[in-house]
Amino acid sequence: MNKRFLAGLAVATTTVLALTGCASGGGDGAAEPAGDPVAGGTLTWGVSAEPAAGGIDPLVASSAPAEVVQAMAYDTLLTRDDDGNVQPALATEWEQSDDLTWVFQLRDDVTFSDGTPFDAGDVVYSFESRLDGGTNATYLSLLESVEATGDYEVTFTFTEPDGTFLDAVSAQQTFLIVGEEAYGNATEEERQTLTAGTGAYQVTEWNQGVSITMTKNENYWGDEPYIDTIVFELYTDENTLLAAVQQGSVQAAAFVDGSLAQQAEAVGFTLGEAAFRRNLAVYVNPESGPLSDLNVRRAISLALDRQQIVDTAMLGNAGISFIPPAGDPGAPDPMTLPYHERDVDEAKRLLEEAGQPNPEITLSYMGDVAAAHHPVYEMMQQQLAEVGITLNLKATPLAEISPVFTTGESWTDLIAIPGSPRASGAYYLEPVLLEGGYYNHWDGNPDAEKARDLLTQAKSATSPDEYADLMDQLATEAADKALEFVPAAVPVTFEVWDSNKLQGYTTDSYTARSALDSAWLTQ
Amino acid sequence: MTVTREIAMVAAAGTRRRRPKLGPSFWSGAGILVVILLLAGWMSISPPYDPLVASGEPLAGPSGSHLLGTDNLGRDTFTRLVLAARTSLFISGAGALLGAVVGTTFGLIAGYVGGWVDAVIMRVVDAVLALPAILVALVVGVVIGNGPIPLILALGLVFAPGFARVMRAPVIAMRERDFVLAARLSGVRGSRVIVEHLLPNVLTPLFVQFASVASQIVLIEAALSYLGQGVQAPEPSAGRMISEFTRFMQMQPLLIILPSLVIILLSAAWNLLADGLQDWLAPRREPAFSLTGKKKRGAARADRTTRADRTETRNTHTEESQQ
Amino acid sequence: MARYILTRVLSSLFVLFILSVLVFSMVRFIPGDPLASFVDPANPDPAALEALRAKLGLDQPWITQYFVWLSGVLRGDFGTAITVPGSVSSLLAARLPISLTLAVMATLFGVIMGIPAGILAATRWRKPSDNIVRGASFVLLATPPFVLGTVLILINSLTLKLPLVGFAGAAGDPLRTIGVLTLPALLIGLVLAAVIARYTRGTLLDTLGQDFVRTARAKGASPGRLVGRHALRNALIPVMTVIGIELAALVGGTVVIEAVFAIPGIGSLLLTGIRTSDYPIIQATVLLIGAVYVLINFIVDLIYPLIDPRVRVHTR
Repeated sequence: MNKRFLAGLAVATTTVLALTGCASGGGDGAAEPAGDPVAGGTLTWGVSAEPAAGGIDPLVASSAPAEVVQAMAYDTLLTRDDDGNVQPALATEWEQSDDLTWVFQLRDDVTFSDGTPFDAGDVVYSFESRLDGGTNATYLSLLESVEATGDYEVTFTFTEPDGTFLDAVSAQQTFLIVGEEAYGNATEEERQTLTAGTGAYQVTEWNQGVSITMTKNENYWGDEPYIDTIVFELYTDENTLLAAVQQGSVQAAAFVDGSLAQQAEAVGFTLGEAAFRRNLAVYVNPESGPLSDLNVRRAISLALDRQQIVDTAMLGNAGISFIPPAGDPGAPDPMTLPYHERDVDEAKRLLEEAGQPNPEITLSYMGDVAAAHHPVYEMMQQQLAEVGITLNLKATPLAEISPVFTTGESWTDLIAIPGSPRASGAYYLEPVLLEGGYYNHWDGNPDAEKARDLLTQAKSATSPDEYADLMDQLATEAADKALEFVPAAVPVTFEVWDSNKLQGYTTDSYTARSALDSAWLTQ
Repeated sequence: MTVTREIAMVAAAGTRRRRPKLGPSFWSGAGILVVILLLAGWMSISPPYDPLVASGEPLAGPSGSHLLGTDNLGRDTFTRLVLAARTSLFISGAGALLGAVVGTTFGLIAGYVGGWVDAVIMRVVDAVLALPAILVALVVGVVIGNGPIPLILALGLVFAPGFARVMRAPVIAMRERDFVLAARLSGVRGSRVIVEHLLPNVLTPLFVQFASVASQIVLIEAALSYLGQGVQAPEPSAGRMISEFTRFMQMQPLLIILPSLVIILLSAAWNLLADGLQDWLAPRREPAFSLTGKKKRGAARADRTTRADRTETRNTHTEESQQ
Repeated sequence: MARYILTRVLSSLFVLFILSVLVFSMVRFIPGDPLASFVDPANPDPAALEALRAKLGLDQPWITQYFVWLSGVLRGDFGTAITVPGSVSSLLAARLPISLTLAVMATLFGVIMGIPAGILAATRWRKPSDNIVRGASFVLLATPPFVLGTVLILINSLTLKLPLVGFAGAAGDPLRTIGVLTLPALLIGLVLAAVIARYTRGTLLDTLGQDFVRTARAKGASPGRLVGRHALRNALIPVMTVIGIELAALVGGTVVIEAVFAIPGIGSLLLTGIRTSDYPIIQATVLLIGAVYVLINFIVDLIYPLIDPRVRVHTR
């Protein structure tokens, strides 16, 4: 195992790779003609993370891996298609009877996977339990009451108009509906490790640290799914996951790291077109230091070459974005926003004007997770150096950063905390601008006043058009006052699958893998 | 260390003897370390490229302008590798030094004073040694923080118990010796006895342990950085480079081969040093039936089977507890 | 003898006690909140968090928490994990056999490869084969195993396509479990073989340099018989203890290999616990690893004076 041997190994490796590459004919991803759907089979899907705190309890868990499983096992009242249009799900009709009231008509042919029938009582139970200490309760801050006004009719009453409600209720992972009996009678451990929902697949086994098995729901209200069983296998190291993909141990996989997903393409897997819904958000603490000066913040935004970050640091596996993330419906084109077009000279001029030609700023980021994002911050350091700003990178373990969002601990200058998709655009800036928000260091700062007003108005918008318009204004204002920086946005995961084996599947832009409900395996 | 070598070292402590010359192990180990030191010095003072700034095409191979190619952001690999080696050398040397100082102090005290002080110290030592080094380093590192200095503290603490064990044995063997008794009888204070009379005579196992521990620290630091808990960005670290660049393995394998070589080289260098020192300071007696056909001169003095302590084969963290 | 056993037992218990205190307090110093994984960073909810904290008893003073935990441990209940559903005991029970199997397999490989290599090196002192073994040992001891593992896995996935990773299909199937653990055990075993080879070489050389061997040789015993019957028996005794200790150290020390090979063992559980500051998991895992080590040490301490008469217990 000396130097020469390893060099020889490297040569051998490259040769083998070149030969294999020639032999497999390259991955253009084109599948054979589909043929007719066939029922049956087990799909093995590789993932790199397991549901964490709260397991897969839809009222408690909020981790990304949990949300994917929950979205498959449970349903929401409404849903959205890939064009962003609201579609019915458990509810067939919906109507905003006045500014403060929403009425939903529900399906009458749904049962939970344990056989108990679904009715309005379950919807009321789900929302009330959520308000009583469950997740996503912040979306219901303006809700006054939810009542069953019929066996299959539910009425929501608000204290003020809520412009975000329609978005929230149609988001695929936000207001999941559980059964009053099925959920109410289960123990805490059962709720966290198994599912009893209305969705097409239900979790029947969770081997902690190894795999999660989901089986077809016999009582599903929609078209019967074709695939019998789906097994999510855990490979914590994504390089090992790539190996599993390359040797065919899994028929599909979800990567956090885009460059590995691209390499999966090279062996013939299809790479799904994923929406960029995860902002690599960089929050600002303007209370002291160079960032208290508006011009310094604007200079930072001008110094960033966002296209280069996407192309080089992320190897093209990202998108330019602001708030809301580029993949969200209705997101603005970031390059039209103020201070987003790179201008080194203007940045330097602004720094001169601020009297700080060479400020020193600290950026803390998570050093022990998501290594794929680290080049972004390192590239930011390079780009800012070109206008004279010294960006000190502080790679900090997740355990040290987490107090920021568990107890509201403060930070110095900038902190990078990747976001997650929110049901509605207003909620990206809520923790930044509104009182009590953990990322809010803008109280009393005049730069944030107008943005705060816009946000409050948007949340109480009376119509979707008014909401959209206010959100656009908010984005422009936030960019203008440089209240937050977003160097790039990534998808929650990159999905790859072998289209010769798994047919009829495409990535949905909400990472809910809803297409699995109608996909089939070639036998 | 084996029982027989242990006994030999203990017996050798405090005696004067004719030593053979330093062998090839020692010189190759020391040589590698010196070369790395010089390279690191050159890099620190006048590096050909800024390690934090892109200076070429990303993922390029070796070329005239970039001796070992570039990484995914176009930064020069050679510069970053040498700086990573510097960091590793610094952490391993300083960490082993800290462990040596802390551990030797406690070991000497325990061995000289004896009694319940000895018992308590040794039980705490046992408790810490019960855990694999990487785990203790991981947990302590998370508590103290990341970065080179906290890492040195954490690793020094991890290996101090090993030093305590190793340094205690010869002290116990020696404290009944005449010259020690003479010093005490003439009124020399305990601490002076330890420092002036005992310490110089136990340097043999100390140096060997130092080099051996340093080689283990290189591997542990690499593993910690690989896990994301060790040396943080933007400070270059071989272990972290491996974890960050494995995903480019099929595009530019050099990016993980080279940092691995750096780790191997550095760890092996310390090991060679340790082996060379051990052979020099407490040479092995030649086997009875010489299979080489040549007689070697100046072997050891006699192996005196003194009333030695229990086997201390597990006085250090063993090498694979860093997988 | 009985007194010796008694002192060893008490000593081991005392060590375990110190260990528990060390582990408990160390864990509390870890920055980071175990409740962080309950929080969606874009959507934090302070009130819910505080309620959860109280429910888990994390707002009690440390002494109280320690005694609650300790009394649970003595009853075999390691508590409930915070960031993973289920009790810590069941998590450990599922993972410990896997780690043990890996450790035993690695030790076996190490012994099979290492002892013959060490004997070869010692009997050919300073000849080429000795230098090869010594050189290979040096390099192996200095190699970080995680690199080799990842490289091999990736190469295999493009060429041989052996089922080297993937624990899912192996659950409950002992044969497949052993198959999946073979490569990681081999890699660890290689490094272990290097250690064992060095030790064996060392003790054998020392033994061969002893007076009794010289005497036997002078009286005409053949080298083969000498090495095989007399020297080896003496030389291998300390090697056995090293093997025992290595085995113990492997149970929790294979963190990185487990990560690379997707093995659900004790090491990866601990790593998860550390990343999320999950106190119950960290405490239980570290304590278990330490306890295994203390147990094996204890057994070794009992056996060793019986088989090696050169070593005497140092009476104080």
